[in-house]
Amino acid sequence: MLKRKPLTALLSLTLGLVGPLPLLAQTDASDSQRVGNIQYGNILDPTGWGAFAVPDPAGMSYLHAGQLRTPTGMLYPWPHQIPDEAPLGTGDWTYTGLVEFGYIHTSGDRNDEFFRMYSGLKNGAALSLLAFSALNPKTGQYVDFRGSRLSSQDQYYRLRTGSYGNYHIEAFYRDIPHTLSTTAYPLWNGVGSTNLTLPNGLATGSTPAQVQAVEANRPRQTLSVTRQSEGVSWESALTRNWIGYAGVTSEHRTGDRDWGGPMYLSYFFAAPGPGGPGTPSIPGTSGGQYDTVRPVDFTTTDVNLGLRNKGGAAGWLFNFTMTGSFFRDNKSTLDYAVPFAVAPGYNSVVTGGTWSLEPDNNYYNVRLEASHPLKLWHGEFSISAAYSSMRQNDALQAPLSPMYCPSGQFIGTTGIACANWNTTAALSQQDGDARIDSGLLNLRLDFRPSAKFSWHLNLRQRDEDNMTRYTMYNPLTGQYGYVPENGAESTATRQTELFQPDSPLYQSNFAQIASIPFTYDDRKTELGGSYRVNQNNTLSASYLLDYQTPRPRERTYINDQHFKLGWDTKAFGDASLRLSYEYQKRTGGPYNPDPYLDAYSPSLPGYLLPAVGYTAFTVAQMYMYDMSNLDASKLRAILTKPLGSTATFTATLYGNRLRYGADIGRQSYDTTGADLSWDWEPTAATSMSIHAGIESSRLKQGNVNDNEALTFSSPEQADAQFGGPFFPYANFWTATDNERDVDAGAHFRHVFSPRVRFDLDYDYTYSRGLNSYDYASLGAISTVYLSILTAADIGNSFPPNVYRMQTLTGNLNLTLTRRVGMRLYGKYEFGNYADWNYAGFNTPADLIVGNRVFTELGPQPHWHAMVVGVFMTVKL
Amino acid sequence: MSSMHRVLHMLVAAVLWLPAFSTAAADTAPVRTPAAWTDLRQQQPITGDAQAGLAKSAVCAACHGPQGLAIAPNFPNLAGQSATYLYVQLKTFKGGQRSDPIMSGQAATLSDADMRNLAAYYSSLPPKPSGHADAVSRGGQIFLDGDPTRGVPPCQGCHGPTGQGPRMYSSDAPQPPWSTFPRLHGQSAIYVAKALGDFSSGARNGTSNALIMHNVAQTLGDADIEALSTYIATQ
Amino acid sequence: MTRRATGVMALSLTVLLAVITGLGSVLLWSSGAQAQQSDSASADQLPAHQSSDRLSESDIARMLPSTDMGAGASVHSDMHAHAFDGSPATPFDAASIPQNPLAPGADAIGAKSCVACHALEGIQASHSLHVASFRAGSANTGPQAACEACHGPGSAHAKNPAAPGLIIAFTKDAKTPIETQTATCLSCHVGGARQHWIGSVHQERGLSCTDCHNPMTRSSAEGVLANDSINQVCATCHQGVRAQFNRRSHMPLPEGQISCVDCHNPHGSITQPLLKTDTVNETCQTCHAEKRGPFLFEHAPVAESCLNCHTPHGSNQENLLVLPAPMLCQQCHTNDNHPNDLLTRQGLRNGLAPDERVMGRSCLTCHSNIHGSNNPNGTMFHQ
Repeated sequence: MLKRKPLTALLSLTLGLVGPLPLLAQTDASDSQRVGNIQYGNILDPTGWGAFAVPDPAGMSYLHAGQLRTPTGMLYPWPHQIPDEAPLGTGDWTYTGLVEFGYIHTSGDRNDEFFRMYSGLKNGAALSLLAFSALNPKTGQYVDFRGSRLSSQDQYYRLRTGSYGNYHIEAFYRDIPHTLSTTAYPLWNGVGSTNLTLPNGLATGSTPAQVQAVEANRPRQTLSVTRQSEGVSWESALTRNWIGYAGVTSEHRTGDRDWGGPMYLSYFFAAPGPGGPGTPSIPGTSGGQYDTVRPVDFTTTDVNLGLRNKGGAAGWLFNFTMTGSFFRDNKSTLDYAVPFAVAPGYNSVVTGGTWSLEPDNNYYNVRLEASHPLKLWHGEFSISAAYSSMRQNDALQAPLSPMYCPSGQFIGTTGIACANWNTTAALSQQDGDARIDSGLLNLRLDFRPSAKFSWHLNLRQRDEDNMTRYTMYNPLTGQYGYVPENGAESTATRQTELFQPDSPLYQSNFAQIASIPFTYDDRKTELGGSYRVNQNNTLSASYLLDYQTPRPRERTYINDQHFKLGWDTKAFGDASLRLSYEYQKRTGGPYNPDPYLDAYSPSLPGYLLPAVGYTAFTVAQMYMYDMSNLDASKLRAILTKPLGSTATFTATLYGNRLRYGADIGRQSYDTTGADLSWDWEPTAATSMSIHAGIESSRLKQGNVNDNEALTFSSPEQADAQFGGPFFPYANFWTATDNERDVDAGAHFRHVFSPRVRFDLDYDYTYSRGLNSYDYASLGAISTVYLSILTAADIGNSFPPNVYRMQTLTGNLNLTLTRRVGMRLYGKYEFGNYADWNYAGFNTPADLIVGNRVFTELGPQPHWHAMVVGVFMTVKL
Repeated sequence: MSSMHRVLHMLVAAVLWLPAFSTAAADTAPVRTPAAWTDLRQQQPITGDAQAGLAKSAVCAACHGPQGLAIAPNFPNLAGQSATYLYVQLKTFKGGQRSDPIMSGQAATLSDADMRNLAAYYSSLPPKPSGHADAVSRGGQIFLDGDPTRGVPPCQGCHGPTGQGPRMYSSDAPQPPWSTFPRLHGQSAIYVAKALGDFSSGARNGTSNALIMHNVAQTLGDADIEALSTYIATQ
Repeated sequence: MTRRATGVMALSLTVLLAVITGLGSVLLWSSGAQAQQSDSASADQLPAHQSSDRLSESDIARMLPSTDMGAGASVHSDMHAHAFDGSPATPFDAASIPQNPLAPGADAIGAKSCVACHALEGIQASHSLHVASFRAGSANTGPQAACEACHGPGSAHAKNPAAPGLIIAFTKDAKTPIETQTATCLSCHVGGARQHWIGSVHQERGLSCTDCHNPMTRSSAEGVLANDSINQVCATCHQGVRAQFNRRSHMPLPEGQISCVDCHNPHGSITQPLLKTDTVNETCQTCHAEKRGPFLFEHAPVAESCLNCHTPHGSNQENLLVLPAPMLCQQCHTNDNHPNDLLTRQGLRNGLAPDERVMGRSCLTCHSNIHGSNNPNGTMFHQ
């Protein structure tokens, strides 16, 4: 397998192929077929072109004032001033160039997570833009370079060169930062490696107070991931009608992110506090949950090859692409030691856990698209076929780590020997051998019988074949199933997920014994058309039947029908209005709440049904929202209204109403929103825009707690019916997520004199989410809490989640001489934030709660930060 | 926080000092300045008091004739000309964007109202009667069809098929300042040839319209100009 | 049912293989084909030596009217005497002049006539990628279409410029039908990323190429756009989506690190909503390749669509989630024991009964491998 050298090999292969090709005929560098690396910019200049965005007061034409509008009605911006060109050498080449460099200073809460999320601003020198273009106007050869470096984590360099219409070569290098948490206080040493060890003084069996004392003094760390990528691509006309494309990109993603570590549930072991119900409980000191930190060390190499025809071959347009993507995980495991004993008295066994991180994988896709005009009704026939394959064959890891469950030891009082599970000899196969292939066929007919009327028919079939089969069988013991949670569950409860025929201990265990090869087949049939009623009105309609056959899922088939209507009109004066309505109705085969039995022990010979049956997998009336019935209406209107010759008003209104045919599961999801904006560009020197939008959404779900008293003790535990003894109506509860968003901004640009340009932007964003709940009776909560909590304590909602951010950004550009200028950049950002998931985590010591270790305090509740930059702009 | 506040103050101060900066900067070294031409693209049709114009027209009549028809072929006829065109010419003579040994001096003393009134007056006079131009002459071909082999656009596009002004259609899109385009018909060949020569040489390049005519006139050779002048004079 | 799945896959493979093997011969065949846009009047004058697929200057001489297109001054004086031999021409020279249905009798007049009046347009456009390409073409050869390759023959317009429809125009108030506008652009920009333009949502909703592109100026770093960046262009209509990118968790679009077109092909696609790949997951997994697997143990909604749990543009929850955990998970997990309990505010860190299912990463503290696990013990994604 390609392990570490695929980039080098493919690069040389590509260049070897490219070198001798005749470079002639027309290409165009429209990259919108490739995913990723289309946009190069950063927080100081999101367009990557801001330094050139100087409006030319001469405008676009001597013939008329102002700017023209797009067909829809938006004003084209004023043309940018053409950069001065200078001859390059003695030939025909000319060039332009610009460099902007300077110093950035950040102050205030510059470690705030939101402030740093995707920008690598650091105090120090920065190159905000280096742009260089050279052109030979006689031959059409060009070189185009753009680069920027804010810091070593936030930079890009992109070179394009070629000859207009002949060939095009592109190379890039970039680093994109992603800050995930700036308030992480990991308990462990070795963050970033595959082995997390306990700090000095701690060993498995410590008390929460001991761990808390250590945690209180752990240093703050920032968890972040940097995406470093580079690539080269080539596109060229091979002959007049055939165009070839080849590209290789390689990405190296490194850093750390929050992760977990289960050592069985602790809440089970909570006890009422000394004050009785309504007072703080005593957290359980069994089990354990560990918010760990995992390393990210990925290398992904993508190879894209393409060949297309522009219609020379008897009118056929061909587009043939091949993609290979090779993912390598350089750190594919994570071991972590735990400070708490899973159960008091068993502190010598299960002293840590192990994770399998993502395995290496390969992905291949071949795709052909071809279309041909038809004589009938000015038609077009098009066919697309694709075949793709995802494969993974990593060496599997032993179920338990020999470090934390050493040979010679036994798990709790279960009698399960570590030696039987801490080696890969315990596995039924040594490698993943996982593979999913899929095929896609899309046929399309478009007709335009008259200038006013067009219609189309589209058939799309995509089928998958999931070839992954893994049986959880341990040849050392002859047992099926697994030892969950690193052995912790068995230590704490003596329960296992093991099945063994003829074994009194395991022959009636309900356990998963095999992987489930999920597969989705999908056939879409669409018929649609549009009719131009008159010059100003077009109506369109379409019907889509999406027939899905997922396996093994709760429904064997799903019919998802979409009926769409569209009206595009210019009947209201000079305004353009686009209105669309969609009605969706999803139905399907009978709903089977537990279609997965084939992967569980009852499907094996020798399974003995226990006297009380096995516990109902889930409540029969639960409908998963991807499978349940659905009635949905979606309405959207977009209005573009020119105001005079220098302003435009736009309004968007949308609403979605989704009704899932379920009491248990997702019930409904509604969204309503509106956006307004006003853009004004009275002269080349001044432009202004204001926008404001609001959205509210509401998602409601239902659920029912099982009657935990019946579990393993009564045959009624097998009753999956809602309203039955195991899922009584009294235990029903609902939860509603209400979110409200406001987004507004005002932007102002003005050229005070040819020397002084000033931009000022204010942006405001606000969201408030309220998670409320309702319940039929206290039976909805865990029985553990019945002696701790009262209805008054529970209330009806979590505290609201809030995210508010305001930014004020100013840019002052001063022209000093013809070549030299100055840019002053200032940004002031402030916001506040609340997330109940992290409520109460105020200091590192708060991160220890009973047998639980958390890592992050969550983002700061309030932050203010400031960025100031002083840059020198030199036109080359 | 305190350092942040300091920086904030600095920024506010910088913004407040901005106007001072802009004037200070404008006084020093040369930078790219807007082109030194009068922008007619937003010129609206003008109005004026023709009677008041008549009162001021005595001096003009010396060359342009009592009824706006020139006394000699080196002077343009003003009768029936677009008022806005006339106004713009006076204004640019005064402002220096167009120069002429006689007219620069004449216009220098006129107020804006005078210029409007004079323009209104001359535009109200009956134009020279139409002649019988030869459409198949070389000049006629250039005027009506242009000469694609040489890149000459047809004059009628902006000056109308009979030289009596452009044809207009209603539209919401930005339109050329039609009222600033002159009516050509009946101008003397000598005057037309001089005007085209001035446009071509760049002697007359002080307005956005003149910049257009500069490009147009540059496509014309001496023979073209002669043919065209003859055609226009007989329109 | 597996048999049918295999059937479709075999069929798509067969189609692919058939075409791949045919490709070579088609290549040869097409190389014999001649220029599509040959002028009928002189098509019979095809020189015998024209066996190569390369376009020559003499091809162009036949294809275009013998007017000065503002082309290279070197051949200006004597266009037909020696300029057009069999030497290679640039592809832009071959651009045909589109028919303007509203001015059927119009003739091409050449770029020089156009820029006589449209002087400033000529200057601005010459610095855009689009027209700069044409100019490069015209540097070596004689006649060439430039303006009229897009705007159609100009003679009628030149004579009566304000009359609507006499030129193919691409702006508001243009009388040129949108279909004519887009067909004009597509006559050169055919196929490739625009293979599925016909029938795409933007085509059906009556958008023109110039709603997003402005080939007359260089406004953007990429893509000859009608605004400063891809994201600004898309946001003119998709304002609600733009607002989502300002939410608490979002793709790095406001930060300039990614664009709409990184995932979507606005020109049309066979995968809704205008995705570049065959499925939602294949788009996401281009960057998030580690989540591709396949894993020993897959999580059904993950394998089905990332959008079951994530909203792609921006969210008020962390990690672009649709809902906060545990509610997110409890939409489906009504399974007995710990998943189906009502969890309340008293499970918060400062509540009366702090609960690991509520605090911090909630369900994901234990089920961290939620996108799939390759651990033999990983069926619950907690190893």
